[in-house]
Amino acid sequence: MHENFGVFRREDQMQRQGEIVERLRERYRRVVVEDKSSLFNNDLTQALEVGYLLDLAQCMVVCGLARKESRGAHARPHDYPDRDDEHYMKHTLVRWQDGAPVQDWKPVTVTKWEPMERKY
Amino acid sequence: VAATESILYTDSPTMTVALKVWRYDSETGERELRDYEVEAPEWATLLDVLDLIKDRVDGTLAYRKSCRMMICGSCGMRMDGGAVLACKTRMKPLVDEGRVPVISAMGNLPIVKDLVVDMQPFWSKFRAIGPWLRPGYERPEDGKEYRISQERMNVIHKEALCINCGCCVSECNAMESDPEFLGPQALAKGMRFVGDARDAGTVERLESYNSEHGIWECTRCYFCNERCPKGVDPRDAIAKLGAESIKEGIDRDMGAKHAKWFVTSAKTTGWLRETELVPKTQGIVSAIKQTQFAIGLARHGKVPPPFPPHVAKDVKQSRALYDLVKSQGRDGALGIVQGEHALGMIEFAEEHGTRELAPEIQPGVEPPHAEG
Repeated sequence: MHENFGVFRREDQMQRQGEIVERLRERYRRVVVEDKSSLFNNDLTQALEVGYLLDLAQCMVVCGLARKESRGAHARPHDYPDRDDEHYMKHTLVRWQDGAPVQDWKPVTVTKWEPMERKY
Repeated sequence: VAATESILYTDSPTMTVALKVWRYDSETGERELRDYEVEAPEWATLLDVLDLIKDRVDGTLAYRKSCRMMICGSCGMRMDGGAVLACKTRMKPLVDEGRVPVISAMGNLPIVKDLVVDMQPFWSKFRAIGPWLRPGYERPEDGKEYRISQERMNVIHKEALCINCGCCVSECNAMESDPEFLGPQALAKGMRFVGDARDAGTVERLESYNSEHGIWECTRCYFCNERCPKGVDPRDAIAKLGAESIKEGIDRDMGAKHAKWFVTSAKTTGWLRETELVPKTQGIVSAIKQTQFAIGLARHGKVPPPFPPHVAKDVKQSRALYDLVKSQGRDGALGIVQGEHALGMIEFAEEHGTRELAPEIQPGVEPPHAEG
């Protein structure tokens, strides 16, 4: 994720990261917790955390690929360098369903502060 | 496995790091010194090495960590008997020297498992000093932001750097003899609020820090200054609290009386008036109880003759020094110059040939540099 999924993203890198996460999830099914004790077992807590991190990584991959524009910390200078309010002025939603992330959108409620492009 | 390794060893030469780790299990009481050896990148810190050991050699090794960049204060532990932050300690110099360091849990706190200590005593002392601001300041008349002078900020600058890692507490000699001693971390944090111009609880705080297990229990061994990974210099903070207490007239503790008698000695005789030191510090009753001990000391030539003349030949210099300090109005924490700050001032004075104070560093202004 550090190498392929930073602020500046490329389609091919994001695709590749999806495959890496997929392989890691496969390996994670066979994860071994070496420490069997009930006392400050951070071997166990770390194993649990890795599982959640993999879930989260997969969500990021799906959502990153879906947003074909550049906005804030999601920048795609090679294929979609501009902000696209027409198609992507919306929140990204993701929910876990049948062992995989399902991506969806939610409209933005504009109140006092009108969203506008950053020009500085 | 190959994928993980490629990330870890990106273009970096490696070294073989050997360690000994004191393993401990508080449930069974089992204790064992275990040897480990791993291949690590040359830039590896002690924490990186522990991570590699846990990943590849022994998943049962327990230690705390979080930020790995010296700001969370989780990975305090001992290396060859002295407290360090594992993430701040590079292993390359040790490997070059052929050293095999012994890693163990911090001192003065109960061990839970391996390198993990129970921080409960640490946090209860931390809580006991009231580590929050008790606001007591007027809104500036012009309605603008609250401003603190650089001079006042300098008083608590170092104390504000504390990350609560416990390295100072681990090394505290006074806490080793009295586990109830508030200790360097809590007291440094206390100074951070006593010295805060916005805080209204100064006297109340000083009263509580002057209690039985407070500031005067410090033995001034300076191990806390030595071992603090963030340059907080807790002993300096304790000295500042002492100075602030005396400034506020809170001097009932033996420690305060002891310190005051040194000052009296300096301005009257120029020698330490040792014979009077015990009654002045501990009171008459306690002094009488110790007469037997004093006679014993005298018999062995350990007590100066109690009769005059006991005035130093150069007493004028001693009195002049007293008057100088008094005239500078350096009462309280503002007058305390110790540790790195003091060294900086002394070096500056030596470079410039005069004993004037080094100018305070102002934000946005390039500080003057010593030549050469």
